[in-house]
Amino acid sequence: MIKKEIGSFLKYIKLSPIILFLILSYFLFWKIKNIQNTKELQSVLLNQDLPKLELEYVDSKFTLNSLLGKKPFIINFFASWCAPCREEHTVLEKYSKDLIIIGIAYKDDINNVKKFLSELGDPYDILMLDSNGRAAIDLGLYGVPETYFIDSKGKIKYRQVGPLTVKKLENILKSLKVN
Amino acid sequence: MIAELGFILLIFAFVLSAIHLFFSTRVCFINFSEDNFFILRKINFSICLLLIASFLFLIISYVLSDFSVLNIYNNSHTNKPLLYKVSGTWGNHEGSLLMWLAFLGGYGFFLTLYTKNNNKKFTAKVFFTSNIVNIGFIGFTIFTSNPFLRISPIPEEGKGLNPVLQDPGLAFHPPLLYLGYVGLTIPFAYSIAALLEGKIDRKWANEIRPWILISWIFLTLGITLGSFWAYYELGWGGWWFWDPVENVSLLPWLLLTALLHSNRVTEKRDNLKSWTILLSIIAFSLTLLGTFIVRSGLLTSVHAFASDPARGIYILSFLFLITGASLILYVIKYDKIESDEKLNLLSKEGGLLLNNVFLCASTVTILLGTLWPLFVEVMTGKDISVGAPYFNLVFLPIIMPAIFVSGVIININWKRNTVENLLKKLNKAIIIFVFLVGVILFLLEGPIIFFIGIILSIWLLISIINDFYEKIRTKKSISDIKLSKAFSIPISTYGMYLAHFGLAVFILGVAISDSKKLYYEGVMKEKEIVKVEKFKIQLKEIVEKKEKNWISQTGNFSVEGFKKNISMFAERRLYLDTGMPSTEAAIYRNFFSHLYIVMGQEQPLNSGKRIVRIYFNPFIILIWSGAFLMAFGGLISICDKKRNR
Repeated sequence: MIKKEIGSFLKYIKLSPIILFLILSYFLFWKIKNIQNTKELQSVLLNQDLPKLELEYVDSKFTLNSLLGKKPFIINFFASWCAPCREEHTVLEKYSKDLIIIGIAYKDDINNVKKFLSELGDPYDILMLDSNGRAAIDLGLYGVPETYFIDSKGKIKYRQVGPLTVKKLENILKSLKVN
Repeated sequence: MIAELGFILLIFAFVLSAIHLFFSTRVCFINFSEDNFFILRKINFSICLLLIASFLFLIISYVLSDFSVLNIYNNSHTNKPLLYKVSGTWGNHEGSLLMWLAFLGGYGFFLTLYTKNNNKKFTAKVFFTSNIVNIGFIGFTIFTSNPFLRISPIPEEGKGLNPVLQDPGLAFHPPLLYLGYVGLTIPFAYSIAALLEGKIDRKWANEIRPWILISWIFLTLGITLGSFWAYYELGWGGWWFWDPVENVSLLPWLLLTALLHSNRVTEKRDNLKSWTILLSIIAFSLTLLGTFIVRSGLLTSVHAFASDPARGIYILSFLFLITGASLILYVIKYDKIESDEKLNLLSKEGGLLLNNVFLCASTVTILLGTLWPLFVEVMTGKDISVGAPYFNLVFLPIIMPAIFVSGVIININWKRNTVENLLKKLNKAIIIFVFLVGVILFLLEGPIIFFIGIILSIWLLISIINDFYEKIRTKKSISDIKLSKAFSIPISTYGMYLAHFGLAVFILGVAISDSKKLYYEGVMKEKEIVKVEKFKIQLKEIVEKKEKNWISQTGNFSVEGFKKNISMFAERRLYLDTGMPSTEAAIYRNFFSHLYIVMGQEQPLNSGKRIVRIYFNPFIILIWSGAFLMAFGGLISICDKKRNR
């Protein structure tokens, strides 16, 4: 009697691969559908106040403190020695009128930075020099280019590791506006 | 012009595949005729040649540094040596997919060639299945990852290939690995054809055997080369990191190994049929899953390609359709193909089944560990990662008995055995084994895992020797050996011996290098000396030089501790075209051991102090040599004409 029951159960063992596969597929589809919403690399500083950045200013119209907590802005780490930054630069140029962009030159030489900006255009409202990488450590920089989005309350809302593209930037701005 | 030509060929191949699909459906399921079969063969040949030609056109464009092609602009540079211009072709997502297609073409070509005299009705179904795979991948390339896209205005110079990829190891690691992955298409196509036909016999198993072996050899070589390359290029000092992409290459390998053994049972004993079929379906699906994981950026890894969700969705849908359909077909035809014959557990086939269980269980653990972060994220929304401790803890206890059992299986006979017979055959081996284990336990010291590794390796060696000895000795007495008998042992058996010998060597390498390694990390100034156990290492000077396309800083180390004093040069390069640094570890080989020095960046900047990591990896070369011997054993097995009819 029991043997017969086990026998009839064993008949269905052939179904197990397909069932397991369907479960796996569910997870994979879920993930790929949600991949756009997941932050690429979350920062522990997300939704925290921007740490105080004591850096050297390079011919800037106004200071960081005059902005902080009043207007939203973005902080863009770049370097003249970094090739992807060149690519990203055209994107920043395009948005320089719509956004307040703060540029921080990471471990760079002031002359090279100036050359870089005169060659490719200067999208930055404030330009600062992080020659020893101090601010980078405070913000937990992963590499250049990297961009932080700060809201009007002075809190870090998003962190973009790697170069921005027009599409990415639009998506980020859209999702930040929604929130 | 060349780029357009390449793309047009690709589109031709796609159109032809669509025609092939339509036509082969008719030939397979509605109206079979020999003439139609020969037309099918011709279409097959054309598709294959088109795919290969398209890839060659991309290579030519790379060699000519045609930067009007986006893909080449992104991944090449004029001041690269020719080898890296060529290897740059597959050092990126689009190009590597086209290489995948070219390999599909290559395998398809030989498949069509070698099946000329086989059962035509059956072979048509094999073509039908492999063509579906072709369509999926050609479509993937054309619609989501076209490598022939142009850009305007035309840049003067390319952006350069990622420096860590500029290495002979990388030039050959992906092609070998892909040859392994793509090769799995053929056992898969054979399995689906057999399911459609509803018939699996020993002849079928014999026909797919060489294809499984080829795939297995390439996969073994590809993984080995990848591991070796990571070891000396990435400067992490280890040979395996349980990185998700490493794991997804190991998964098909484990299943393929299981398939190789279960197919033996099908071939010899006409048993485990549905199991063999299932394994080949899943092994193939795992390569698709691997492709999906790597190309969609689903999991973070050192191998991350530029990720694009559209690609992920395409490949996942393809995986879903093809695996789903195969498994449904499997359920429908299961009763037809499953043999009722009982399998005797105390026999070679029983042992192989047991080994299969272990191999599959270890595959599942790795799959689970690799995908676990994903499951957790879906269920709880948290980000976690599963690291090496999990894999070592779970994988090793499962794979160890498998290795022990294989030693027994080599010695056991097909069909029925008795425990007495088996013991009689193994008694000398067991006595020697116990003796050696005693000696080792007495003489050596180390962690438990060290002993387990060495003991397993010795057991495997002894059982190979024992089996060989039993085969060449005469029945009369135990010491009467007839060497002429060695010639009557099939070549494939020698291949099997060598492959398992390679496994033993591999395990020995892992056990010793892992438990006896030395490690030092710290900052060093010029002229500073550190002591790492018996080694006295001095950083003599750092020399800076400008090379063709990089700036090199070389640390000159002098080492005391070997028989003679040596100098070692650890280099750190800054590539001019990409601005990326890379490390060239200094590796000094002493017999099978390595002294491995990596010089990192200045820390803190302008202090003259360098981060230095020093590893001593005893017997680490055995790891790759063992894996290489395994592949070589497979090659010998393939060459056995008698076994392959």
